[in-house]
Amino acid sequence: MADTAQSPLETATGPPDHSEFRSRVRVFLEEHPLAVPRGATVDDDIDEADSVRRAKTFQAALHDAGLAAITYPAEIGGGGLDKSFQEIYHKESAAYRLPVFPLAISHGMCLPVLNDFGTDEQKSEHLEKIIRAEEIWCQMFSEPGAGSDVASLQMRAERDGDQWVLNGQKVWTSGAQYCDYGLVVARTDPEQPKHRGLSMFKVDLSAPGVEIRPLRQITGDAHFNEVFLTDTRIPADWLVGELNMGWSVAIAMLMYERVALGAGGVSGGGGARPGAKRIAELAREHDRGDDPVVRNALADLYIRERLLTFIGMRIRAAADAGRAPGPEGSIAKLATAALAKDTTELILEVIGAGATAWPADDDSAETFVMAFLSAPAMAIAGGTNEVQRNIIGERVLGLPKEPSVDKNVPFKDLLVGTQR
Amino acid sequence: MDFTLDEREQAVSDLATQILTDKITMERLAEIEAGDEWFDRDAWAALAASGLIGVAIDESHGGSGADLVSLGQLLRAQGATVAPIPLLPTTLAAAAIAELGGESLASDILPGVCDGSTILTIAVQEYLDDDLATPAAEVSDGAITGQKIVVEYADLADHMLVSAVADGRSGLYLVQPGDAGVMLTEGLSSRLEPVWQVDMAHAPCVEVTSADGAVGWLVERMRAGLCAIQLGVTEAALKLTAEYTTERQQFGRPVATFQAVTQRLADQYINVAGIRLTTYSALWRLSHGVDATEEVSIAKWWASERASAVAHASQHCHGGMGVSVEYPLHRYTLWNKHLTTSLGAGTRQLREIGARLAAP
Repeated sequence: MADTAQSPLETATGPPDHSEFRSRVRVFLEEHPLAVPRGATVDDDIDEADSVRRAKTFQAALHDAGLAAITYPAEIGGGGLDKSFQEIYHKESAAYRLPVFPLAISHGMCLPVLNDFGTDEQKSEHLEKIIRAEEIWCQMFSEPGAGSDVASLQMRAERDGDQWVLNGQKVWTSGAQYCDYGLVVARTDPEQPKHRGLSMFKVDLSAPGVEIRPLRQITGDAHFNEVFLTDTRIPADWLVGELNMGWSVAIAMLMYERVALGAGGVSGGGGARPGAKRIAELAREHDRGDDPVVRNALADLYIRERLLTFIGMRIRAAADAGRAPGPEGSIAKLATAALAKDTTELILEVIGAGATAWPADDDSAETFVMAFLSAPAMAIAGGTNEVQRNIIGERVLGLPKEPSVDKNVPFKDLLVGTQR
Repeated sequence: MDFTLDEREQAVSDLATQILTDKITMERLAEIEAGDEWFDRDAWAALAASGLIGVAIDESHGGSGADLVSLGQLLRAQGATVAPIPLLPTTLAAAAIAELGGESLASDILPGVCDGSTILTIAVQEYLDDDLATPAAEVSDGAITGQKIVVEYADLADHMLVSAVADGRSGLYLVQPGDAGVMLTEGLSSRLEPVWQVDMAHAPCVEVTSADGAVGWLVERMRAGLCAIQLGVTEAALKLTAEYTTERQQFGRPVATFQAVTQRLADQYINVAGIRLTTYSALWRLSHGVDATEEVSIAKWWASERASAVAHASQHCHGGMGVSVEYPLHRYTLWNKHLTTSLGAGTRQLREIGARLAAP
């Protein structure tokens, strides 16, 4: 059963000159074996290597069909079309589950940042490969001592001739285990206040001195990693953006992240989290369909899902129109995290004893329980709920910023991380 | 009751906490999770040697003769240390045998419970079963046929206390898991322990009681016991969170000094206090033979809805560390989820309370 109820906005047909493109998209999605119509049964029980392989296969085909990175210029591997074509693709592909989850960060964050800030050489070397998923990139910001306060990061980059030498540790690096490159923020000038002495670099994750250690999560998965860089040498021209201006590159990237995390709506992300309609089915299966408390909660979720869909549409429309991502990404991210929590709690309530324990061959119970266990991370990853609320307070409502004790102090004089 | 622990209850709490804190270390838990048996036999033996497993069992059977409030303190200590031991099923099956069964059954089984050599478990849940008091499992010719789910320690237990119907009357029966006619199927649980589905086909059984309300009697105590464990779980999770947010620095100061964090944790303190008060009230009424139907539902509601809030806030305020299995907090989240969904989460309690209030 599809949980993508069509809203009036989504049923509007495009201008006639788009019809050729629309039918090209439809034919591609109908014919590609890895594009699965929503509601169809899919084999979720595949390992990570498989899912990366599927993502690469699908993405290469999408690119061959001229349907990847639609609004990017054709000479760097994009579709060379305007945003109206992107909208058509979004509408048509919404009816499918596409195997592109392993590319979410590479495409949602690294690609636009490299496009916005990269040098011509960097762009011509990487953009097409990223678009085709010949290369997958990850983001390397957080450190053990720098979470919400990511500007206090301690990873150092020191110049040595025509090279940079990187030393330090990153943490919560999603997907590093299968990525080719990372965009890493490092401190290039500790004499400056913490936001001002940072720079962004690209790092080859197979280079000497790069060690990737998986972090096992409460769900049993190891999606995140610790990444240690020890005397990792990179060429001087691997700097992305201007020297010591890495914070603005990082902020741009975080904006793209919020948008990517929030714009998916109910059906976004890993696609594992079911919506109100699926839970209604579950309620019937578990004889809870008549329970007024459950029905009340279902209706509430349904309304919030609808609202989140609208927020997602608004974000995509803004992005398609070329407007810089704004604070609506924070709203979407907050709403997504809250919905994930309440949705998965209701699922457990409906399943009851079957969520306490389940037969070893019952994949569906396990999927629901894992969705429950992974929900809290959505309120943390990509900027905590508190960070998002501060952004709304300060940038949307124009409230004064919280007094900060460390904003204008040279980084080397701060007591942060291990610098105590 | 005045909600203050008396001397004996306090002594049980202190002793149990001391033993379990000493035995159940992070390293030990990791070792057990990686091993074949979700059971710290060493901790179990230490509790038995201190007379704690039989704390609520009569002295004539080798116990200490205390009541459910004291047993609640033991369960609370188990929750605080997330100790993998069959405490709730063993002690409450023993209580049912002592209170509802015959003297000969009690003298056969209870001394072994008190000295730690006998493990008991309870099998009262069935699929799609909202009304635990009228199970589908049936007894005929001294043997049970039926299926039970979510049975803890079925593989290690010497006896299993099973709810079943005989001649139209619900009752409690003892079955030996190793007997012919009993098939155990291992299931998964997010608490990382094996949990069993038990299929019985003419499995030999011994009647404990077929008195009216016996299954309800047991389920009420199990729910109250789950609340006591969850009290310990939430208290410990909140303590860990207070420590972590005090230690963890961001923006040049401890994150606990941000009001968004402080106030959220203060709300969790109130939630834990609510779990504590309602749980103590339920246990006290059960111990004193006063009707506790409503108090147990209220306590279970707090220990489901509000414990989820505590778990979520604790995890959230730990940032990424709350998700990582290398830090202790995740176990408290797993236990909270396990306990919340056991024997009816919040909605079921609300329905039961509402049905009584609005009954014509």
